[in-house]
Order: sequence, then structure tokens, then C-alpha cells
Amino acid sequence: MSANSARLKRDFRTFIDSCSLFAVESVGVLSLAISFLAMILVVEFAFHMKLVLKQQSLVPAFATQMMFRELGPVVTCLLLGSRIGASLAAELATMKGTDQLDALRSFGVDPVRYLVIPRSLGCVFSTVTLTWIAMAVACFVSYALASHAIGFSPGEFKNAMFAFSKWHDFVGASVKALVFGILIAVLSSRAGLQAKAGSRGVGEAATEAVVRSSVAIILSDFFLTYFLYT
Amino acid sequence: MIALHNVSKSFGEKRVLRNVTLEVPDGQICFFLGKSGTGKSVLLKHLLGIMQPDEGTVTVDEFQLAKLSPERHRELFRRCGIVFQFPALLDSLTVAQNVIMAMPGFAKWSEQEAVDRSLPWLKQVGLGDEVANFHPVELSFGVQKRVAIARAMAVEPRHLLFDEPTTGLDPIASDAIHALIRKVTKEHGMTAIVVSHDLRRALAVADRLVMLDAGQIVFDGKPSEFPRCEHATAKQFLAANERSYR
Amino acid sequence: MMASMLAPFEFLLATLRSYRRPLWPHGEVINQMHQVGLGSMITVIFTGAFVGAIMAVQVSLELRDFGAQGFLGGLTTSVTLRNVGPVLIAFLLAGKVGAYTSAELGNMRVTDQVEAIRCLGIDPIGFLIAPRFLAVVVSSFLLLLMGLLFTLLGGLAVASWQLDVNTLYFLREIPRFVTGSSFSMALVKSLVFGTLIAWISCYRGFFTKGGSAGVGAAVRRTAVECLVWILIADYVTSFIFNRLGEFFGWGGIAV
Repeated sequence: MSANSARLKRDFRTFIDSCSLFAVESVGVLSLAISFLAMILVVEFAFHMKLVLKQQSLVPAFATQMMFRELGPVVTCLLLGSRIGASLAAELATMKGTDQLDALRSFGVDPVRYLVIPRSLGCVFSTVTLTWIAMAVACFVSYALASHAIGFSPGEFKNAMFAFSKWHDFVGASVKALVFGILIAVLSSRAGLQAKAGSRGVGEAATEAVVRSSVAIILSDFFLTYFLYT
Repeated sequence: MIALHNVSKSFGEKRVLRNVTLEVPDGQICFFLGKSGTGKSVLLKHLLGIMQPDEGTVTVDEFQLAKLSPERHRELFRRCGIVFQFPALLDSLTVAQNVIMAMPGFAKWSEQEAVDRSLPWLKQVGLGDEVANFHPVELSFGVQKRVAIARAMAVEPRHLLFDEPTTGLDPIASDAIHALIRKVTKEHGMTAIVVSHDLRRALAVADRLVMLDAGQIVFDGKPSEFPRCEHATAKQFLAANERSYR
Repeated sequence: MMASMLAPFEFLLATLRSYRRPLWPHGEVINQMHQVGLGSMITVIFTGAFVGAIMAVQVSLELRDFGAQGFLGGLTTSVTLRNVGPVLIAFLLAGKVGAYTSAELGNMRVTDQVEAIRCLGIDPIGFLIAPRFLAVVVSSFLLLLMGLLFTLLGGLAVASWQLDVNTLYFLREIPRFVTGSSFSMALVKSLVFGTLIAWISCYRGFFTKGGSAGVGAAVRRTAVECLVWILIADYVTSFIFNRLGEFFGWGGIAV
């Protein structure tokens, strides 16, 4: 009984450590990327609204909705996939190359349970919470800077922003983030555990992790979008 | 001639070289011996100008290593070649391409031309056209070392530096490499500076032995005089060389 | 600090200067393009198709509320071509092509191959970086264009199979919505993104420090930095094109 609780405590510690590592370190970069993304959405919707409707009053609503439904979770998780996925794969690959995984097995410890599961949980936790943060940042940035890019005053923008977005969109974004997080964790861990030896193997594992995660995110996004929103 | 005058180098608190003064005339085979971590490899890097001393000067022929422009530095690299401890061959090129990659005009030669031009150098190190088209990763460590030597020779340098040429090789290969070092340097009149732990082969091959301990030169003379050296580390080396554990 | 901010630019300058006298092995550029481009084609095709499909679904959802399904073909293609397509496909290329290049260069750095080249009197930038930089720029540009083509096909496929929109109807609206400036914007972005990927991956790979772990770190930094700079470049390019468009009176359609 005490062995189990000791193990649980240790797993929890690793989980917290990896959460803080992944999440906290990525907030800055993510905010920067999302800020630009938000502005891109605003500017592009303005362009197309002018083209189609000859007026821009619906731009805030459309931009915000698209951010929630699509680009928020996808871009956030692509970025996190690059960061978290590559780190996870590289760490596991290095451990494999220096025989640490074999050493763990010789102590009767399953590397997957000990190393991979806590980090994967940390990854999923990070993707979901960072997606929420990203959407908040996007709303704030588009509200604050819309007056620069298009002729809206912040007040007008804020009032118009949430016209279309419903709770369904928010939940949908969270579901996407959850699924993407799981994909990143599983695919990156696999890439790390399958790595070849040496610095070359570590580089290849990290690259594989990023590529596989990215492709999986885009592919699954299509199916998720279809089933969540149509 | 390669000359070091009062060269000192520290990494933080650690003094790696202290007042090292040495002159190596052209054509001499000079072995640097010492325990691991005594600054032997650091010394080699100084001779190529890829490290600068904290004090003292390094001169190679007419090159003053302290104030080299990038073009002059490149000329120095042609004058003074190095064979690294880990062969450091390019994985993406074949053996033949690796050997001749430093020759001017390399960019224009086809793969077949590369093979043709590399053969004379491969022969010098005891290899033939059977390895020319392989990639380094497909060959044994010993063969890779030979290719690295061929590559260093292909620029026809006047001096060749070797950083632990036989670490990681079996005794047969080690003998062969040491014999090769002696043969090619004498044949081409090259100076050879060899950093090594291998006392037995140093005694067999070197014209001159220099022992470093704690960053200082504690022995500098003919191999035949080494067994009579009174310094503690020298004695340990000699004893380890003779010892049996039975 | 100033020095380290200038370093990437010095690196770029050194790379560009080295093209005056090519130093790299015969056929190396083609070799690299083969490694990097061919392997990525399938990925780009799939990604492009799915991105197009996703955008078709999203746009159709928006239009449905307004009863303006007719605009689906034109609007989807325009939105995808101008922004979403180039950015998402470039993200993927940053992973596949960019990470691959920085991993290869990083591995060469930590196994002393770069130093060996230098000690033979060869300029490592002219020998290693120049061919790879060129190969990545050209491959990325071509792959991006190919990917964008597939976004069109993906959107078309989803529209006709799932959203009950007539194929011809979809295609007919495209010339009306996709302006010349949108097209040129897609081309410019493809070139700019390709150059960014080449620059960042070569720089991070070449200056890798610290053994195997260092290579992993270089790959991660490449992927993340490419992502961020692609987004920044996307915004700046869009902004410039839109302003120029207003100034010169481009675009505008008769709806």
C-alpha cells in the first residue's frame, strides 16, 4: 500500500514538474504568436467583409468565432507540439541512447509507466490550459489593437465580439485541445522510444515528433470540426 | 618550424598550460605524452590557432598565430593539418569525396573524378579503390582513421598534428597506424606532432618525446632517455607500461 | 547582447556572399532538394487537402447562417490562399524540412565535422550552409505552391461530397473572389516563408552546442521560431498588401 502511494506521489511530482516546464515556459512565445494570429484574422476578415458585404460590422464576431473554433486550438497546439513534442522525444531518445531505459528495466521499472505517463498527462494539461489562455490573449489583443488595423474603436469591437460565439464553440475548442494534446504526447513519446543511437538519433526523433504531431493535428482537426460543428 | 614561447592557458580557475616553451624543427616526429586532462589536446588547438593563449606566443613557420586574418588563417590550415581523435569524416559524402574535399576545384568534379583523384592518397594509407565509394558510417573505426589521415595529407601540408590517433583501436590497428605515421611523415618530410597515451609505441616511433604534467613540460628529449627520467609521473607511466596483474 | 542580435544577420550575409564562388560538392543542392523535398511531398499533399477541407467546412458554416452558400467556392479559396493555406503548410514544412536541416547540421556540429572542415582550410558556410539554404528555399517555395493547389482540391472535394455544393458552382466563383493581389500575396508569402525556414534552420543547426541534447534543443528552437516568425511575416505581408491594395485600388468585385 505504501509502495503504491509513494509511487503515486512521485508520478504526481513528475506530472507537476512537466506541466510547469511545458506550460509556463511556453506562455510567452504563445502569447506573441497568438497576438499576431489574432491581428491576421481581424485584418483578413475585414478584407473579405469589404469584398462581400461592403461593410465591416460583422468582422469582430466572425474573427472571434474563427479563433475559438479553429485557429486558436490548432495554432496553439501546433506550437506546443513543436515545443513539448520535440522536448519529450529528445529527452526519451537521449535516455535510450545512454542506456537509462535499459537501466530502469533492470530495476523492474517500466519506463513507459514511470517516464511517459506523467509527462503525457502534463502535456495534455498544458495544451488545454494554454489553449484557454491563447483564446483569452487573442480576444484581448484583437480588442485592443483593432482600431489600428481597421477602423473600429475598442468599445465597438468589444460589444460586437461575442455576437456569434456560443458556449459550444468554447467547449469545442477545449475538446480539440484535449485530443491534440493526447496525440502530441503519444506520438512524441513513441518517436523518442524508437530513436536510434547517438546525436543523429536524437535529432531524428525530435524531427519525427514534430512532424507526426503536426500532421496528426491537422488530420484530426478536420474530423473534429466536422463532428463538432456540422 | 613550430614554436611556442611561454604559452599559458586557463579555463576559469583551472590552469591548463603553464609557461610552455617548445620548438619543433621541420621533419621531426614529436610525441606529446601525459595523463588524461593535462592539456595535450589544448596544446594542439593552439598550434592551429583555434585557441588563443592567455599569455605567450605561438608561431608556425612565418605565421604569427595571434594576429591572423581569416584568409591567412585558411593558409595556415593548409600548412598545418590535423587528424582528430574521432575521424570527423562527413557522413553525407563518400570516402573518395571526403579525401579530396579540401582540394581546390572540388566543387566541379563528378563522383568518378573524385574517386580517381583520391586513389593516390588512399594508397598512401594502405587503402584501395574498394573503399572509395562507401560512406564513412559503413566502415570500421580503423579504416575511418586511415581515411582521415589521407584527407589531411591531400592538402599536402608541411606539418601534421594527430590527436590520439590510436585511442579505441585494437593493438594490430594501432601498430599499423603508428607505422603509417612514421612512413608518410618521413617520406614527405612532414613534421608530425602526435598527442598520445601510448607509451610503448611512442618509444618505438618518435624522434622526440615531450611529457606534460599539470600543464608543464617535465620531460623533453630522446625516447631512449625517457626510462632514466626521474619525474614521478614519468616513472608511473613506465611502471604502468611494464606491469602485469597476475 | 548587440552582437548576438546581429549574429543571425551576419550569418545570412555570409551565406549570401558565398554564392559568388560556389564551394560545395558537385550536385549537392540537387541532393539536398531530393532529401528534403521528395520526402515531404506526400505530407504536403495531405496537409494541403485537409486544410482546404477544413476551411470549406468552416466557411460553409458561416455562410449557411446568411443563406449565402453560393459564395463558398470563391470565399474559401480566397481565405485559404491568402493566409491559412500558406501559414499552415509552412508550419508543416518548418517541421519536416526545417527540423530535418537543423538536425543534420546540428549533428555535424556536435560530431566535430564542422571543425574538421574548417581545419582543412574550407569555409564551412560556403561548403555546408550555402547548398542547404538554397535547397530549402527552392523546395519550400515549390512545395508550398503544390500544397496550395491541394487546398483547392481538398475544399472542392469536401464541398461536393459532404456539403452538397455543385462542383462547377464552386469553381465558378473562384475567379470572382480571388483577386490578382491575393494570388501574388500567396506567391510572395511562399517565398518569404521558405526563406525564413531556410534561414532559421541553418542558423540554429550550425550553431548547435552541447552533444545529443543540444541537437534536440536545436530542432525544438527551429520549429518554434519558424512558427512565430511565419506568423509575424504573414501579418506584415498581409498588412502591406492590403494597404497597397487600398492605395492602388486593387480588388473589389461586383457581388
